Amino acid sequence: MSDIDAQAAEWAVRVDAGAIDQAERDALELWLAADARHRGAFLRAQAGLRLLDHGRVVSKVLPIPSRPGSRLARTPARLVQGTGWALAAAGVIAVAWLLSPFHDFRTETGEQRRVALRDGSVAIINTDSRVGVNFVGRERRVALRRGEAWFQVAKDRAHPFVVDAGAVHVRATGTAFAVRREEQGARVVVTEGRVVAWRDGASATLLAISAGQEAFIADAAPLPPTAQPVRTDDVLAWRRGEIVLGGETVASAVAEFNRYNERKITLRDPEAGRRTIVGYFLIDQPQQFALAVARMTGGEIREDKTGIVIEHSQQKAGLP
Amino acid sequence: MVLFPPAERGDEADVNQSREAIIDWVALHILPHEAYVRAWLMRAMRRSSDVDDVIQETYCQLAELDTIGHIRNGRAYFLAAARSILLQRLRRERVVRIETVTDMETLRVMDEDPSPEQVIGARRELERVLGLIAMLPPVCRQVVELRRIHGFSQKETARRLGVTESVVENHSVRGLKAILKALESDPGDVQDAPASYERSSVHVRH
Repeated sequence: MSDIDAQAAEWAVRVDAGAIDQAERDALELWLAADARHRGAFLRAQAGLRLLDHGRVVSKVLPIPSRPGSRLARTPARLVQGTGWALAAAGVIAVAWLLSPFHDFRTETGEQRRVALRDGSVAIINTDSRVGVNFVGRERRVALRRGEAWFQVAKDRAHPFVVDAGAVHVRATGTAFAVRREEQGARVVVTEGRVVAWRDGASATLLAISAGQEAFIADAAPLPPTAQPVRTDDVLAWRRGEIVLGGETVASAVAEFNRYNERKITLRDPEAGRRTIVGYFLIDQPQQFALAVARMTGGEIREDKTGIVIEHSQQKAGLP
Repeated sequence: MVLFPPAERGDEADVNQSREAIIDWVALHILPHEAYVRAWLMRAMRRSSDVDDVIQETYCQLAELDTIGHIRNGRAYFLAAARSILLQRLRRERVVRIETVTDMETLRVMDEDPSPEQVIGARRELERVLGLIAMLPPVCRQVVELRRIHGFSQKETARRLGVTESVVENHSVRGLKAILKALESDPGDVQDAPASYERSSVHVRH
């Protein structure tokens, strides 16, 4: 509860008790005059007391329930925030125990898979990805051939956990991080602990990446890569089935949606593609995202069986 | 704004009566729908702090009203006010979340045609008030019952419980805050509360 609400409740109770003097009355008038929000909160608090007074009318008719409920403990925020992981915990995501030390996993477009590895580590494999596991040697090796995966690595100092993403390699002992294979290199995002990364041909140059940081390691870069701070919850929102856009260009957001959906979005307005967008979207709702882009840029969307087209609108006067 | 009983400011009796009427109206036709409107906003905005801000601004607008005679359906009015504030914010911040758009279509229909089912039965509403009081911690509950249900003065309540008036006042404030908090999340009109937000987005194969 905000301070304003708390103060409003105090004032409402004191006014209701009828025990305030002229000085307090003036203080209340001042408080109310100071901020429109104070007047709103005060009205709400007075209405709350009034609502309770209505209990008086029926108290002779209805028994007062005596057992305290637990509803006070719940807040809407917690209910909603809990939903995503509750779904995950309820088994929406499949868990596959591996008996063999070798295993290949493949996800289709729009598919995500949670895999429990036999060393106790967990991998969440994102859309359109290929991951191979090899736990035979002294190292636990995972080949990310395509796409993206997040790993929660079980602690085992004797057997380092190494992800090979083309020419880029990431080593951890007990930590959590994501690797995304892109055209020119690999992106690493660390959510817990610390990893080291290097690339073929420059294996003496180790880059340390800590929790809350990301780094893009190019297959062949003129400059050594650096780690940057990043909002890991946002860039890894795909694990909750979301895409969080924090000022990316519309064009790159379209590309991101197209990773997840067979119904591809085509943007026929290059100018709109350079605009930036902020928002929370559901991965599997590309038409809603397209509608948002159209609204924002004054464009129009056209849908057919194969996909969604965002076009420049002729009459821009129709903006909301 | 006038806040005090007419007896103390006789010349402003009419204004006070209208203030009293507005408090009454907010108590019975706005506050009980707060959880519903919050749930709707939550689907559109996702972040509870954003929802708090919009709700707060909506009450500000209500506090500026001089009369409520022209408002037929409290919930539709509440939703429409919250929606227009939400739209202003979205435009101002250039934050576009399209779930909003979908729900606005639904809402538009509701504004024009408030069905009788959308109005909570008075009796259910009162049961709910008693339920809210029953959920308070014991001492707090005693105070609220004596003050609100039995209608005792603060002084008389203090005497009966053997405590000072300021203790009674503190518990009254605590009780009011808890009940206002409960009204945020406890939809009184369960039968037609908005469908809970579902993430239909995790595509996974076994």
